This record gives sequence, structure tokens and C-alpha cells, in this order.
Amino acid sequence: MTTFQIVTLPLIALIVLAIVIQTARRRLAPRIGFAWIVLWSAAAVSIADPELLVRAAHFLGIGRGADLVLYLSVIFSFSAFFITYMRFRRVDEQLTTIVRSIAIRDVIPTLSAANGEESGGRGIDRVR
Amino acid sequence: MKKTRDGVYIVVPAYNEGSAVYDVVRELRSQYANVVVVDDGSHDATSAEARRGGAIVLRHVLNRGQGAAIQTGIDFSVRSGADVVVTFDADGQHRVEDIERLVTALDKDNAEIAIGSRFLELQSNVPALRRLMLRIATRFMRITSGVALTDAHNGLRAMRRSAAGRIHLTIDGMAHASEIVDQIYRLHLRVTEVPVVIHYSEYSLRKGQSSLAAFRIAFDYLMKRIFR
Repeated sequence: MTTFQIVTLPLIALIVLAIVIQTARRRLAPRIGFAWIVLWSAAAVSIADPELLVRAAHFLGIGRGADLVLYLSVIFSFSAFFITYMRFRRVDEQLTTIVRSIAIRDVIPTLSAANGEESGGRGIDRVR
Repeated sequence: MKKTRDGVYIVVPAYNEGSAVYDVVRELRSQYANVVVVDDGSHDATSAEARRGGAIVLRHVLNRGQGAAIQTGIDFSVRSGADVVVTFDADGQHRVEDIERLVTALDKDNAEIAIGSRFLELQSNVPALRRLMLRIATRFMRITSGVALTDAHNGLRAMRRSAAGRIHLTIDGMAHASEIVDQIYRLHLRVTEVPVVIHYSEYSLRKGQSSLAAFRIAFDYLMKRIFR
């Protein structure tokens, strides 16, 4: 075993264990937890047996195992970025909807100078 | 059809306009009963000043952008029974007398929405760079949405209740102006343009958009069109 393997494999084992625990405790959705476990297991396998990674790369017509990892990580991080962006936009829209309903619910009516009474224009009662 | 001024709701989106909004509201209130200021999460006295001026105040607890503020004002006005909803900027760049011209144009031109334009009649006080950027924005809108309007980003508009109830702005930031044009086209709204005058005071230029902001506005708009 190389030094790299001695350092990284137990580390990955710990990470996988943490994910399993978090998933069991329902802190992570099972689907997400599963995806992470698959990802880290694949990393562990390719560290433990680099030859396997090279064979997988050759099978896909890529020269080096490291290149396969590079391509996969680029695809992975770009899609993660895109998914996060879309989710952010959805949350943003929901936030605006909430802010809007609070504003309309808590409308501050016109200050009527004449008698100190408050009125909010036509049909204000329908809004309340 | 004769419209009473009580049915006209003036929506004024305002963000940190504490020093200008009182005068704007007072002047509007001398002509119109229903002035709706949407305070877009200001950190100054915008709400209090608007209220002192006699406006109905809606307050966004968080800053959501001008498009969001306008949509809030439109929603409120429609639900309050408005016949016509007018959008009017809080920084004093619009003239109150232009509102009447827009509302009249709705009837005269049998339109559902009337949009102010600084370029229909020769107006010499538009700064040169601003004129160039707006020309480009107008061309950009003509290409992307197919609507031929002479002034893409004029904040002064009047729309009938029927149109106000159908328009729904989803772009919270400044690109909402393009989105309105877009929806006019998609909803087949009958649109008319009315020449209006913009006061480029030192205040409104300082408060307003930098010409460079145009690039971000265009980006927001395109992203929204691509990832609807």
C-alpha cells in the first residue's frame, strides 16, 4: 500500500460512515445520502485499485485514469453549480412572494388629516 | 367612458427615497386619492415620509428590487378595486400632469396599457450617454420581444385593470421594464405610447441607474427568458 492510500482510504471510510449516520438520522435525504456514498465509494475504489480506473478510462476511449477523473469532476461540479443556481432562483421567487403577502397584509392606510381617521381608499376592506 | 380619479391608483416603488418621496406623494395626492407607495425595504424614513405625505404604504420587509415592488403595488391596487393602475417613480423624475395624458390616451387610443416615452417628441435634456444606452435597450427589446416601442425603460405607465390583472412581473430587479414589454407582446395587450418629460435632476441621476447597469439588466432579462 502506498502512503497516499494509507492516508486517504481510512479518511474516506470515515466520511462514508458520517454520511450513513446523517442519512439514518434523517439529516440527509436518503436519495442525496445514497448519491454521496456512491461517489465516495467510487473514489475509494479508484484509489485502492488505480488499474481499474485506467481500464475504465480506456474503455471510454480516454488515455489516462486521471483524465477520466478530471472530466467527471468538471461535469459534476458544473451540474452542481447549475442545480444550485436554479434552486437559488426558486427560493428567491418564493421569498418575494412572502415579502409581498406580508406587505399587502400589513398595509398602512392613508393618514387622513381631517379627522384623524384612517382610510385606505376604495375597497380596502376587501384586501384585509 | 368617463373615469373618476378615485379609480386611478398611483403605484410608487421607493427604495431609500426618504428625502424625495414626501414631495412626490404630496403632489400626487393633490390630484389623486389613491397613492400607493411600496417601500422596498428602505433603511431610511421612506415609509414615514410617504405616510406623512398621505400615501397608502406597503412595506417590503426585505429589499426585493423595483420589479417586485411594482408588482406588489399592482396586486394591491387590483385587489382594492382600481380601474387604472399607474406606475410612477419616487425620485421626482416624472411630471404629475403626464399621468392625465396617459390615462386619457387609454380611452382615446382604446388601449389597455399606455407607456411614457421620452423620445416621441424631441426632448433635449436627456444626457447623451443615457440617450445612447436607451436607444440600444430599445433596439435590444425590439429584437428579443418584437415590440416596437421608442423608449424601453420608462417608469411612467398606465394600465387598465384588465391588463394590470394579467401582467405578472417575475424579474425582481430593473429588468422588469423589459419584462413588461415582453408580456405586452405575449398577452397581445393593446399598447399606446405617450410623450412625457423626464426631469434629470442631480438627485434622480445620482439615485438612478448607472448606464453601466444596462449590462446587468440585459443579463437578468436573458437568463429569465432562457430558464423560464
